Amino acid sequence: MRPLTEEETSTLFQKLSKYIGENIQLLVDRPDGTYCFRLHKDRVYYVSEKILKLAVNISREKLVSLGTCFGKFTKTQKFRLHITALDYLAPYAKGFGVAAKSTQDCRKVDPMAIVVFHQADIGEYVRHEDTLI
Amino acid sequence: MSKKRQGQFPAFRNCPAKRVKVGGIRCSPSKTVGHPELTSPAPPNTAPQLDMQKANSRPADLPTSGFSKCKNGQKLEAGFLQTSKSPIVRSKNSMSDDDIDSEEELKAMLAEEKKSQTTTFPKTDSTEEGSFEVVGVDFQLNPVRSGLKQKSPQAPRSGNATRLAEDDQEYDSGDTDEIIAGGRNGGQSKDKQTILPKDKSKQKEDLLKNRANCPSSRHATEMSKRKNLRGSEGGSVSRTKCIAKKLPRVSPESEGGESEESLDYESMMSNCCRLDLTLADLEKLANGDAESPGGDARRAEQALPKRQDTGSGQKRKKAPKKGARCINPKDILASLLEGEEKISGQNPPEETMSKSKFQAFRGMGALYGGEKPKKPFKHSGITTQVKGQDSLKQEASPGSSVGKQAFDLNTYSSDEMSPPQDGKEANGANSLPHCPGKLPRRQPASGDQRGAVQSPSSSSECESASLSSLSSFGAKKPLSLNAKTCRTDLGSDDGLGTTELGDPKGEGSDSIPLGPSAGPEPEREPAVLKTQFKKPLQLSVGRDGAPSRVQGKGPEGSQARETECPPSPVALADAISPPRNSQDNQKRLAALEERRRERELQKQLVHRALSSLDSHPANKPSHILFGSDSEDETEEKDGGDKPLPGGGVRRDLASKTSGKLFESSEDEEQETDDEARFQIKPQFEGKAGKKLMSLQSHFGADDRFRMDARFLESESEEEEEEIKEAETAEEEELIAEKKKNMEVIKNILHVSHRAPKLSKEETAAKQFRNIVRYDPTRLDHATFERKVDPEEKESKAKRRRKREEAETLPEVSRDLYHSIAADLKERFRATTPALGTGAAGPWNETPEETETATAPGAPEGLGEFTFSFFGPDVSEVKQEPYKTEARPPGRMAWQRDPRFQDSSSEEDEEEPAPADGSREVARPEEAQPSEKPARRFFFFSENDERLRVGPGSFWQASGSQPSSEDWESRTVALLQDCRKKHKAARRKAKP
Repeated sequence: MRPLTEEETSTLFQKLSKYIGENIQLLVDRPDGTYCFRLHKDRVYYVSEKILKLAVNISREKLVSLGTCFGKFTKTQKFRLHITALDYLAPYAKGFGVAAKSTQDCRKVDPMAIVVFHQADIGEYVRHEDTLI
Repeated sequence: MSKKRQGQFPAFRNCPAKRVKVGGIRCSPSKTVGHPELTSPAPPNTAPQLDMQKANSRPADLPTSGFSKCKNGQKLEAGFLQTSKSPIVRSKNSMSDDDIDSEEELKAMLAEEKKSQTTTFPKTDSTEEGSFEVVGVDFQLNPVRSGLKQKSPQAPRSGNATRLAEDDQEYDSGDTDEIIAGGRNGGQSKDKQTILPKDKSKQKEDLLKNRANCPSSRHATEMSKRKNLRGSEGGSVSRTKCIAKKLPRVSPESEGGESEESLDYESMMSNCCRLDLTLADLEKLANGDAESPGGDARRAEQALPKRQDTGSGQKRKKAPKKGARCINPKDILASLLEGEEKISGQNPPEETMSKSKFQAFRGMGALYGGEKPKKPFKHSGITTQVKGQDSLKQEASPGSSVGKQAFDLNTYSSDEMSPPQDGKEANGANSLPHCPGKLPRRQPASGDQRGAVQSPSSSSECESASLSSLSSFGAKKPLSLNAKTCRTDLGSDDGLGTTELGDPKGEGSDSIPLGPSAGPEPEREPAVLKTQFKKPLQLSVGRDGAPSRVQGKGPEGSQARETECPPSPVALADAISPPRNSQDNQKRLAALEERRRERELQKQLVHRALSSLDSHPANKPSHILFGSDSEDETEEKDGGDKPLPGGGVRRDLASKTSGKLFESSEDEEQETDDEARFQIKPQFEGKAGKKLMSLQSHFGADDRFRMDARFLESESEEEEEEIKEAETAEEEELIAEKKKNMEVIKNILHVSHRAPKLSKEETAAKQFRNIVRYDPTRLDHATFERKVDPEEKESKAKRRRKREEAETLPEVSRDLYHSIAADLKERFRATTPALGTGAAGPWNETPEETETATAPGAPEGLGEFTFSFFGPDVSEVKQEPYKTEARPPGRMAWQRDPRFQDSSSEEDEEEPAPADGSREVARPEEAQPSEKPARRFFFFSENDERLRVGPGSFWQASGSQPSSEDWESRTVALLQDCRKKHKAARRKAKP
């Protein structure tokens, strides 16, 4: 468990910015307390300061998880969001994908047309419920 | 039994002096005499006695029926009793005399009596052999005696309360003496001659009856009667009894004619059997059949063996008893009770008596000795006894019962009273022999019989017999009443009766000669005696000792009568006592039970009170010892335990409470200690706490050196500072992270850091909600109003000032001024002709035209009029700007930007053309100025080629006209293509 490096934070925020945009600031700078991102076993956890202090008492090896998992870094250092982050993203979410066409076009578009580029998989929670952290 | 004794007593009768003296003496001789008699006569007499008893019982039933009628009127009964008594006594007297003489004499007497009875009671004799006959004779005799007795007894009735004293006095009275004397004489004479004694006996019986009515008087009368009976009337008892029976039946009240009574009695006896049937019948008979006794006697004779007979006989007896005692219902009841007891006891003796009828007197003594062992009578006898009792009852007329009562009274009194009583007892003893068979049979079980026996033994046996008959009637009543209870009592009575039984047997032997008459009489007599003496019985209970003494004396004494007498009183006392004793015992038992209950209740109450008291104090100490909590617990426990009475429980409670208290306290302490032990001690936490711990470990567990939190303060502050520093460090780290993150976000989002500020402003805007709206109606909001007036004033002022300023001409600097030349005319003159010529439409013409127009004119009229702003400088201007010079193409404003030329090749291609055009244009311009150097208007000269060529530079050469043509051609082509594609699509879609 360690804080994110700048590169990791940038990738993370870039990813999150796609869904909540500027609201990332609200995640980082919360009025109700201090929250921070921690990396543990290539997974990014969104943790409150309280839990963070408590989790410090546990060795890295023994620690399975803390706080809420937002996603994980692949070995190529890309970031994948996990469905568990949905609760924090939903309030600020603009959408779970990138819109390929405007809403006006979506109305007249061919049914096979691609409207949203894949960004989040809601079915992931069902498929990987056990492994999701 | 007692009759036998009484029969023995007639010896005393012979000696009247003894009677007076007798008291204690009588008893002794009677006993002595009685015993030998009892032993010897009993066996032979039994058979005839039975017959006699049966006969007696039957006739007794008859008289009882009559008595029952009489019961309704006690007086009537008393009269009957009296009448009946006299003959009975006589018969008894005769019997007693016979007994005294010997069994043979007794037998002879019995035979004589039987003969007389047969005469009197033919019917009864036929059925019941000699006993009835004897009884019948006695009954006949009795009424005479009863009449005699009635006279005497009436006087003595006076004082019931002073019975004993009166008895004593009465004994002393001359009447008694006279009676006794007469009785003696009569008794002696009666022994052979029943009739004479009958009169005396009747008189005595009357006296006895009167006495019976009034216990006190009874005693006196009885005593007198006994004396008389003892002295004179020994063997008339049976007769008197029979007479008494007859009398009540025929004319209970009328005691006058003995013969009539005897006749009536016989008829009554015959009728008695009928009467025996039931109590109800008896009552009916008593109510209405007083006149018709005969049928009743017959009935009684028929039903003799039946218990009903006994019951009826008892009832009948009861009736006469009542009649005899009629005065005091209590006495009557007592007599009834006694009679029952007697009956129970009587039955066995009756059997024996029946055997020893003739031997009765002799047998009395023998019976006492022999019968006492015979006590089994109870067993075999009870039924037989009952029957016999019935017969006896029947036989025993009211008079006999009275006589018995009198005898009893005499005996009791004699026992207690002393010599005069003794004399009476002696009389009773004399009388006993008269009616021994009857009396002993019926009475032996009950002491009354003894008394009856005694009574007959007294002066006149007949009187005693009558008394006995009366007593027997009385006894019958109680028997009937208490029959059920008596049966139970019989057992107890039997014990007494057994002792007595010996007597009755002896009496039975004595009575045997007297036989039938005597038999019933004694039974009735004892009952009466009992009834009469119920009160005296109580006395007698204590007196029992006396009879026993008498008995003891009896053997000592020479005369069998005297010997018999004492046992009879004993038996009387015993018999009376047993019922009384039984009653008393019952009462005592009841009282004891009540006392026990009361004691138990008291004990319970005490227990409760004590328990409550004890429990409280026992609990209180516990309260005192322990705290409030323990007290509460103990109190609760006490409340729960209160119901438990035992003190042990209290102790247990106390122990429990104490133990619990201790435990509880210990537990609490331990708990507190444990809690204190396991509580985290803040002073030992942290580094400073470690130091304290180390110090504490040095000191160990010593309480004096406990390291409190006071030692921690400074160090704890340091720790806190450290912690704060650590926290601050962490916070700083977090803050740093935040900053980094925010920077990253900025970099990613390319958003200035204002966003958060904006957010802050937004938050502030959210807070803006609290702003107060301006309400002009409110005065408070006046503060929010801007003060417009001063501004307006100011504005007005400003306006005024402005106006003033406006009005006031601005000051012009005089330094600057324009000087205008005055030669304007010349200038306008020159131009005026040109203007005048072209004045028609100079305004409509374009300037160029004007210029063009003027231009030609100007050159023409340069000299005359030159109007131009640059007029003077025209030459100079012309020269300077309009000099045609070759400029680079790029510099030209209207030329294309070089960038455009670079943007596209096409443009580059096209550019040379325009460039050429521009050049071409430029060339013409150059040519034109060269050709037409004169006119220029606003940078352009007339016919300037630039104007022609210029638009060409804006318009594409191909696009202008050819574009339209191309467009038309294209549209056509496009339409054709669309149609073709459309057709192709349809063809594709269709297949």
